[in-house]
Amino acid sequence: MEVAVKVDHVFFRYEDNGPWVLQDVHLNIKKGEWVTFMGRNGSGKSTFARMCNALFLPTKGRVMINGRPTDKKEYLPEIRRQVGMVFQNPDHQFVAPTVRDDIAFGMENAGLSREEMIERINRVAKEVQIHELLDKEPHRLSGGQKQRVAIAGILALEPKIIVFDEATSMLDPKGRKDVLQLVKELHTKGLTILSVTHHLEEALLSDRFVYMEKGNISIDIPTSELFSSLPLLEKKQVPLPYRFALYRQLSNLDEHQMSSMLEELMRESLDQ
Amino acid sequence: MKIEFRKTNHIYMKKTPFETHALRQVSTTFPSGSTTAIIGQTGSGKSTLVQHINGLLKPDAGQVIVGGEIIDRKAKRKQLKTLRQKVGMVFQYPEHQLFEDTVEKELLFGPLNFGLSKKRLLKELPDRLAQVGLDETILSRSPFELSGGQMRRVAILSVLLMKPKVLILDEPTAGLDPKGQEEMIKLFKGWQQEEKATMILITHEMDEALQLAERLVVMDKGKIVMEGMMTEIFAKTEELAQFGLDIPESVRLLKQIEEKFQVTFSSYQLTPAQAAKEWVKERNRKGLTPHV
Repeated sequence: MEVAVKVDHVFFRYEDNGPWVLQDVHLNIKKGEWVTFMGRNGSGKSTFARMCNALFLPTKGRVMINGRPTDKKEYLPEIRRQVGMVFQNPDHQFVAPTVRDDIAFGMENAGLSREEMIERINRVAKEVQIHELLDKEPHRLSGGQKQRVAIAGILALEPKIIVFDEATSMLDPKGRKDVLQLVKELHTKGLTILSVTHHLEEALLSDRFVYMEKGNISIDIPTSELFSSLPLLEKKQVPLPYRFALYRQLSNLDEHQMSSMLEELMRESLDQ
Repeated sequence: MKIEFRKTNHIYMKKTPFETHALRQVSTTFPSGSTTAIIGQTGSGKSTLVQHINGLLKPDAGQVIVGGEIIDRKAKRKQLKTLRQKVGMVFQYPEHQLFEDTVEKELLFGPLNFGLSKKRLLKELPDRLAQVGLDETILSRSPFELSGGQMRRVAILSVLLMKPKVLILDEPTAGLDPKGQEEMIKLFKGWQQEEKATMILITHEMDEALQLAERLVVMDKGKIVMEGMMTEIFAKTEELAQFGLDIPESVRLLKQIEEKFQVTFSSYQLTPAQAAKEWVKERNRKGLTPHV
């Protein structure tokens, strides 16, 4: 098993003597794995996400990206290139007057040649279907388009890992669907995906489900066990989306055949 | 308080290459004490519409009548100011607008500006704080050291303290975790039932609309294209899809089950527990195991 992200007993706080935001977070993420992170606001999910490309460094413990520790300065450029981050607010991540220039920005910093840049822009624009937007001003795009442009800028650097920090939470349903579809495709192509979200349905698309509480991981299961773990989520007062709640009601009535029929129905509709 | 739109037009950046007709001949009524969700894609005109209700925008043609006050192209500043007192508006991410150094100052800023008595406000603060799930110890703290959910409650309470007759909510649960969303919906529902105010909610989330509102207005390209009671509109799945909108997750799921397993539910507004019971009952009545 090749490990893409190794998180080794990580503790983090913003100030000396301040409260711990992360407390003994420990997990390994396999290459090509898609992991969903959920938890209440303030549980440490976003702080954790920012550890993965050295935006924050552990106060104690260690984070390794493809074997390189994030706290060694000499690895920083490589780690930043390998780990792309997509943030919640699409308006907070644009620097250039056109979509094309914005995608070029990261590559310029990475010192790529002009020819290489042009080739990559065309390639990623095709991949995320924004070629008709290349000459537009980023701030005039819809939320879903903005997030796709942000993803294009990351893909141009040919990353190994992409971290989505609530990247769909400010989008309308159409925008969310488009971005999720794109994430699915990236996963199929072998990228490692870390996705922080509040939508339990999104977890069903991924390989693994991690629930965080008070800076620590309290649930870490393959998503195939998500349905049998719903009582645990209920105990943690996580409101279940309607379909999961209906599933629970059927299980409570001991109608296991019907609940598995419902599970199958839900999995079928994911592929649409 | 009743709100009426009469052939209202609004144009942004008039006579420039960017001229946009954001509202086109909109006529509609929000009855006094009603709860309405406005839904539509980004750019459909939802925000432009509600900004006419509290006088942030004036119509370019037509009228908006809010509790008898007629706002047209020539409306005076003073008129618009009275509107702002009657109409409370909770913007998207209202916590981004906090600015005072204590929660108490933050809460009192708006109401004092509109001339409410400080003594009376301070007297009712404890009850009001409890209404939104906060307690008095928060008053002396800086709003900026609160959690996101607490900050949003403070921002919302500062609007509710002005005792608006109309409350407009622009995506009030965006960015909150599911538990926070649930609590926020409870808060607005409780407040509305107590105050009998007219409530208007802008949202992308059909499920949120279903939980908070009885009426639904669908907007597309600056026009109202569908309007009516929630259940009437949810029956028109195909028409909604035409405007890029989905029916709520719960309704969609129940319809899927009906189709796939030949069940008929008594309504699409069942709780999960009710739906499970009806489904099991129907299966037992048929006395056979539905094929998968």
